[in-house]
Amino acid sequence: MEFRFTPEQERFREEVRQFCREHVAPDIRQHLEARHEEHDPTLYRKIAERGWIGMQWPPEYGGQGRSHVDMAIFYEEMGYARAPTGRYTGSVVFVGNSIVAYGTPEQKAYFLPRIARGEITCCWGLTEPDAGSDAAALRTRAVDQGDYYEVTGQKIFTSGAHLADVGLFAVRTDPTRPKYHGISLLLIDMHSPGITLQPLITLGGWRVNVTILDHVRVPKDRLMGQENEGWKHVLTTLGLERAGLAPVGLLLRTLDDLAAYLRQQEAAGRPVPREHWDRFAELLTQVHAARWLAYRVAWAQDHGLPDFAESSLAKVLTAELQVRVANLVVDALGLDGVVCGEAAPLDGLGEQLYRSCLFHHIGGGTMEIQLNAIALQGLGLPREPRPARA
Amino acid sequence: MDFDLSRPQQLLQRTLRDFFQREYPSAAVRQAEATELGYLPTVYQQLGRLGVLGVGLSPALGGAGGGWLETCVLYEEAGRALFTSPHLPSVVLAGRLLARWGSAAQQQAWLPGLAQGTHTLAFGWPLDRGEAGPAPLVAERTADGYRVQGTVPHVAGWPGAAGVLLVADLAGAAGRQVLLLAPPDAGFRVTPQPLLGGEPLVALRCDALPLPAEAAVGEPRPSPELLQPTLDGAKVAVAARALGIATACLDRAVAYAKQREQFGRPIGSFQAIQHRLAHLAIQVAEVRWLTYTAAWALDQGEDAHRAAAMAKLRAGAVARDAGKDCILVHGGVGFIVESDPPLYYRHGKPLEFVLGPPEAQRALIAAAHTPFIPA
Repeated sequence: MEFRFTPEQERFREEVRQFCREHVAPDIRQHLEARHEEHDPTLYRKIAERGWIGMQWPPEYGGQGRSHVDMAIFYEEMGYARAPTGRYTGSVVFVGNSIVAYGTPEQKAYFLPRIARGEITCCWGLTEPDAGSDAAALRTRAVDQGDYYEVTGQKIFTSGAHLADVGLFAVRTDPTRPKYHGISLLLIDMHSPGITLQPLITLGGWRVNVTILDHVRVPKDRLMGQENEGWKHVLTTLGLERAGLAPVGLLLRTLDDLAAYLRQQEAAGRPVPREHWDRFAELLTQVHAARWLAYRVAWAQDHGLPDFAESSLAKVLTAELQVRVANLVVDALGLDGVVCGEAAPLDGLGEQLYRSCLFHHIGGGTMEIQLNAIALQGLGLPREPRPARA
Repeated sequence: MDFDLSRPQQLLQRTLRDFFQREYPSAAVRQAEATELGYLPTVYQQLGRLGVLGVGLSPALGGAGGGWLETCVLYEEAGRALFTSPHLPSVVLAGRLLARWGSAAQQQAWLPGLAQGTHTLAFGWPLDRGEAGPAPLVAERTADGYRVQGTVPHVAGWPGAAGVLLVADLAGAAGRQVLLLAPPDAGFRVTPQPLLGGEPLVALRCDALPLPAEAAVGEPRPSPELLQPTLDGAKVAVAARALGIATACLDRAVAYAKQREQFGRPIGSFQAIQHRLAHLAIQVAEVRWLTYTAAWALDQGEDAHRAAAMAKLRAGAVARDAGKDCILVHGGVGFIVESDPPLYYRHGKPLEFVLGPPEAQRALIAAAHTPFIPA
């Protein structure tokens, strides 16, 4: 066992940290309340200039051939700086890495360098109004019209669709086949005629979308992977959102800010209840556990080891910690913890975290779905019998 | 980074797992509990002959070499098997203190035997204290040695021990003195303190107990320097034992959930059971990495004071909860003493207090906090 980062990894961390000092304003949170999806194009361009968009891809696609551990370091530092990473994740992880995993050579050659240069950003469209956790119930229809597909349907909770140039959409190409077959994946130009976006504002304050597709023409060469066997690709894409991306950096930052605040209070002669420090110690301990678990997942991926749902373990743990840390911040501040805006202690961090923290319980698969994955793939428990088809 | 045990560490793990599977079924756990010693000396000495009891002690001193990582491998496997022994007081605490501060004569007299398990030492320090604070004993210097006074509750490793290591503050002088008394039975009033599960403890009271000058182990020293690194390492070892217990609880509950049928299907196919076990799997993973990263840091000579407290804090809570979950997944049969789940439940809980209760670890963690990026 060896839990030291290599000198190269330490250098990379320092580079990212220095980058954040220079380019992520300390008060970025006040300007971008919506950390997850609000997009800062200037910052995004700067990240691209460093070559960090698609850093894991091979150089011929604009990448730096970096490891998953490097990626986890990047996310940790960006999270600690409270930099917005929503479009980064959408473009690099959901779409870019999917293209790497199952795109054609032409798709790789066309899209990856453009994504890496920050010229195009991407979004991922899976969920529909009647296909949430049961994502394979999706009904958005793609009809083969010879040299193009014609796509009609509705997606919902599409993160970043209003910021994206390209979307990776799961659609039904053959409705006569059983549910888990007949699905295909298409790369759709988000500026195509027939796409309408309607904003939905989340409790956390950022925008997601209803994406309406009305007879949208998609060229045949935008099919990703195997026609009608797209469900296995969907699972691949969902699996790419791995725990190296777990927002541990943000958790560390929040606890550090809280500790500094509590110590200020004590220094000013206002005693802090023992209970708050106790909860702080418990949460800090678990955040450190989550941090090692996240690096463990990244390391295992770098070594090509099978993932027995460890990524889901890390995801559930960090999601629960987001909520418990948010609750501690609010409780430690008392009623001031739910006062909105910069006049509140910690610039309103408590109120904001309290609204945004539940995102992690839902986005990318609910906790219940993650727990199912742990039970089935991780522990080998028997599957719940599926109800007979109606 | 490398999250895998090294080849020799994997071999050690395999050897221990096979050994315990073969030699230490749950009937042996019950047999050990029925004895006054609380452990089976024959099995302990078999492990000594395998050369695994001396992990963490230098081969030059009769030990098996290796460090805290190897110690954690031993403790995880012992925990998984609920193997009870005097190893923590005898080797991890007393043995390491002798190896650090003892004279060559003391080391030669004691360490090879401790590593082989042919004799053991008790550790005269309250087992539920993991931080150096005032010692429970006070030693007064006399013309030919020391006179020791005080009461030590929760002393581990007493039954069957060939000696006891005492820790006393010096009366009227700065510093703390480690003293070795063998045989141990003179001059103490001993009150047995059997536990819910695990090795029995005793309270020792001594009234003006005379000790010769040769009882001194090293010079008097400030308490943190004298004890803290050993106590921190012992915390991580105990965390590894808790990890082993929690892992066994998870494995046994999963196996039972796959096999037990109700409503015409295995209970493990119900989400209510699946999610309980998935949560337990998360907790076990937390403890695994907190424990092994702390052990690694100790072996690197890094300051692992906070990391040890974190491992211990989380491990204690998870071992406790794992015992509960193991019983609950087994249902009624899990609540019957002839079944195994109650063994884990009883052995796990006391570990929460060993080397400091949760509140002590939490206070240490909060006080030792420094920001991830220094200001």
